[in-house]
Order: sequence, then C-alpha cells, then structure tokens
Amino acid sequence: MQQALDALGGFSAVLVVLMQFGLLRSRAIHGHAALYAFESLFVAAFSALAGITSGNFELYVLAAVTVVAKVFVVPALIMRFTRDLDEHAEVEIPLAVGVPSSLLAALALTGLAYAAALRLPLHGPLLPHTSFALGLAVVLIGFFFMVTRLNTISQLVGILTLENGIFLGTVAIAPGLPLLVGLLILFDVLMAVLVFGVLVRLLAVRRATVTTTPLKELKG
Amino acid sequence: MTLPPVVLQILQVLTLLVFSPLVSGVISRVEAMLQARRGPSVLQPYYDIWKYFHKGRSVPEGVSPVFTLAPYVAFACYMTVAMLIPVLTSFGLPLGYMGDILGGAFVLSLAAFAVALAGLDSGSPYAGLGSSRAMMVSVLAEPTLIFVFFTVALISKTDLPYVMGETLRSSWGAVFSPTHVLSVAAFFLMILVDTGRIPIESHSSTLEFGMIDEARIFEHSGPEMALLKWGSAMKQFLLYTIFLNILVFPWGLSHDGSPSSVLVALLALLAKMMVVAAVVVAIESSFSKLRLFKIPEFMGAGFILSVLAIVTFYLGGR
Repeated sequence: MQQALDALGGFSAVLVVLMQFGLLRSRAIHGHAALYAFESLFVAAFSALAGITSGNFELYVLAAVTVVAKVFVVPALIMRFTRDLDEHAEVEIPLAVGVPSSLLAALALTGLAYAAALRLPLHGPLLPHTSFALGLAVVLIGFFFMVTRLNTISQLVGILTLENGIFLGTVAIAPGLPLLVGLLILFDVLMAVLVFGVLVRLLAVRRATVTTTPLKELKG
Repeated sequence: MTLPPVVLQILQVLTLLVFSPLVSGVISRVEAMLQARRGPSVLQPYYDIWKYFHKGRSVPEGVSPVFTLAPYVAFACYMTVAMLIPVLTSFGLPLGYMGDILGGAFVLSLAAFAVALAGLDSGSPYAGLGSSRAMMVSVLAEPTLIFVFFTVALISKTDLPYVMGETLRSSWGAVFSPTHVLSVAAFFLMILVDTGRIPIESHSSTLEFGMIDEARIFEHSGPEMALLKWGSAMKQFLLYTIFLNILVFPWGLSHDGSPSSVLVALLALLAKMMVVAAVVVAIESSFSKLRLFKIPEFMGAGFILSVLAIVTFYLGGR
C-alpha cells in the first residue's frame, strides 16, 4: 500500500513536469490555460497523496484550495483576459526559440535539476529526491518558458507555473509546512494574476498588441 | 492435464493468425458507430482477405523477385515474433528464449524493411513515396523504442519479455512507478505510429497524399495483397500483445498450461485488446491527422517521455 502510494505520488509529480513540457509545445492561450489547470490538478493530487502518507490534515486543505483557486478560478481569469482582447490577441504566440529546441533545452534543464537536487542534503518523508528534483525542474522550465515566449499572457502562465513548482518542492521536502504559509503563496498567485491583468490591458490599449516586443523600445 | 509446450507454442501463433483481423474489424466498426454510421461488419477484414486470396495477381513490368517475395517474408516475420512474446502463457515456451525483446524488434523491422523494399521495387511513384515516408517515420520512432526497451531492461534486470511481465506481477509499486508509466505512455505513442493510426496517418483513407504505410502496398494484388493486409492486422495484434502482456497488464495469462487456463488466457487477451481498441478509437475520433512536417514534434513528445523515464529511474525513486 505504502509502496503504491509512493509510486503514485512520484507519478503525479512526473505528470506536473509533463504538463510543463506540454506548455512549451502549446501555441495558443486556451492551450496554456488548460495545461495550467491540469498541472495544478496534479499538484493538488500530489499534496493530497502526501497528506495520506504523512497523516497531515493541512495538506488536504491545501489540496482543496489549490483545486478551487488554480484549477478553476485562475484559468477562467486567463480566459477572460483573452476574451476581452479578442481583436488584439495573436493567433499563434511568437516564440524566441522554436518548439523542438525548446523541448531539448527543457530536457537538459530537467537533467540539471536532478543533478542539483541530488547534491543537496535534503531528506523528506515523501520520495525525497525525485519530487524535489521535479519541482526544481518545473521552476527552471517555467523560467525558460517566460524568457522565450514573447506574449504577456504566456509570461503570466509561466510565473504561475513557477509557483506550482515551488509548491511541489515544498510539499516534497517539508510536508508539515504551516497552512498559513501555503495560503499566503496561493494569495501571491492571485496578486500576480491581477498585476499581469493590468499590464495586459495597458499593452493592449496603448500598443494594440499583447506581445512584449514593444517594451524594448526606449522611451524619451 | 497440461498441454505440451509445443502445442502451446503453435496455439500462440494460431491465436495471432485467427484473431488479428477481428481486432481491426472491431476498431473500424466501433469507429463507424461513433460517427453515426452503421459501418462494416466486424468480420469484414476476414472477407477482404478471403476475396484477395481468390483474385488473380498482376505484377508491374520489370520488377525483381523482391517484389513477389516481400509479402511472404513479412508474413513469416510476424509469425516468428508471436513465438517470442507471451501471448497465452506466463512461462517461457521452448522457442520463447531464442530471441529477447530486441530480437523481436529486429524481426519486426525486417518485415517493415521487406515491405518498403517491395514498394520501391514496384517503380510506382505512390508506393515509393509510401516507402520513403514509412522509413522516415520509423527512423524517428527508433530512438524512443530503444529507450523504452532500455527502461524495460532496467526495471526487470533482463531483456526477456517473460521476465518483464513477472516483475510487474510481483509488485504494485513497479506498476505505478513513474519510470514504468512514462515508458508505457511512450510505447503507446509509438504503437499509434507503427499501426498507422490517426495523429500520423488516417487508417482507412483513400487519399494518396496522406498515406504512409498503406501506400507501400499499392502495386500488390491477389494473394500477396491478402498476405500484406493480414500482415498489417497481425502487426497491430502483436504490438497490442506486447503492450498488454509485457508492459501494462500481464495478468490473466496461463500459469500451468492446462486447456482451461489457456482458454481463459485467450478470452482475457481478447478482452484486454478490446479496451486498447476503445482507447485507439477514442483517439482516432477526437484528433485530426498531423501535417507531415509536424510528425517530428509528435515523435519528440514520445522521445521526451522515454528519456524522462530513464532519468527518473537513475536519479530518483524507481
């Protein structure tokens, strides 16, 4: 039983990373939103499984809040941004790095995350190395995604996945973290969505586009 | 009473020969029903094969014997693979150890090679196009398949298909381990590729430009066409069997070789096939065919799954 639970926990952590890979392939906003929702769902599953293993009630609460906030509310908000901007939203998101090279880079980043995580003297009660390493991989790929996708909404999704990665890593090495901290991180997500919402509006109104390329221009 | 191993060995090959067209028939029938059509009978592939066997053959001018021999070579290859893998029994049969999982893969690629060669030999532009496309696709699929085999070998510490099934039966932890699930997913994508299913090729299309595997056999006719059609159903059956009885669900196989347990194993295999067929139908009905130049992206996805499987195995909990 314990063995199967451990394996399922590791499996949901791997699914989170796979969604992150999927994000690199997706070239439309609604694809981003769906993948983010699924990624959050698997993070919640990981948290709930950690709850079963460690018998920590707070992890169930965190899982439930994650499902409500990140599987339903945030993706819905993202979709609303795009609906408002319909006439401005680009059909295909411009990429600084093509899909195949992005995927290879992400593979390399995953390897790097594993190599780094194995050298850290961390031992959690739950599959210590794999899950923490996968959380780290999600963070690295999220950064890569933000750097190479020239669209504010993609970058918003990127920063949200960073939070998913951090949450995964935290639950893996410190499943007993206080509920308040977890909720604060979640609150951060909502703030990020709001701030980015303002940025998206601003760009759309001033520049009639949601790509970030015009931000490079000097103002004077 | 137990059946002698030789009889079991023959039964494995017979299972493949007799039931492989049925699986194809069920897939196309269910697919038609999902599209609100009545669809062909599930026995249609048998009727087709019967019809082709009774037709005369015509051979393009100036072809070499390769063209005529290829269907027989391919057919023999598929029958050989059925001896290497656990179709009905969970214990190794006398000839089961003459090749490992890599050996089986080599025999399967020999079959693909023979058919592709015949397509090129025919001199028809469409058959040649099909052959060269099929080769391109299989080159892209190869790395993933090799990584999946490595993963299997790493998990079970051997490359014998019978032992892999045993490893899975022995522990639930092995069944749900990330390494195993990832390599299963990668192998499933490669099955879709190798059986010519939707993201790569539409199976029943008659449009030459979208064809890959089907185009290779354009110039064949009569009994050879029957063998090729039968062979492609057999290839599908073999890949599903490898997928089910080695990688995913190695339960329900006969442990002692008694007639009743073999019958149960046969029924269980067919039931499991129907589940895979349902998944394939769901995929065929909900996705569209990829553009030819998007195929490498699909293969890349499979490759990433298999590489992640290996990385997870070496660097994490298995």
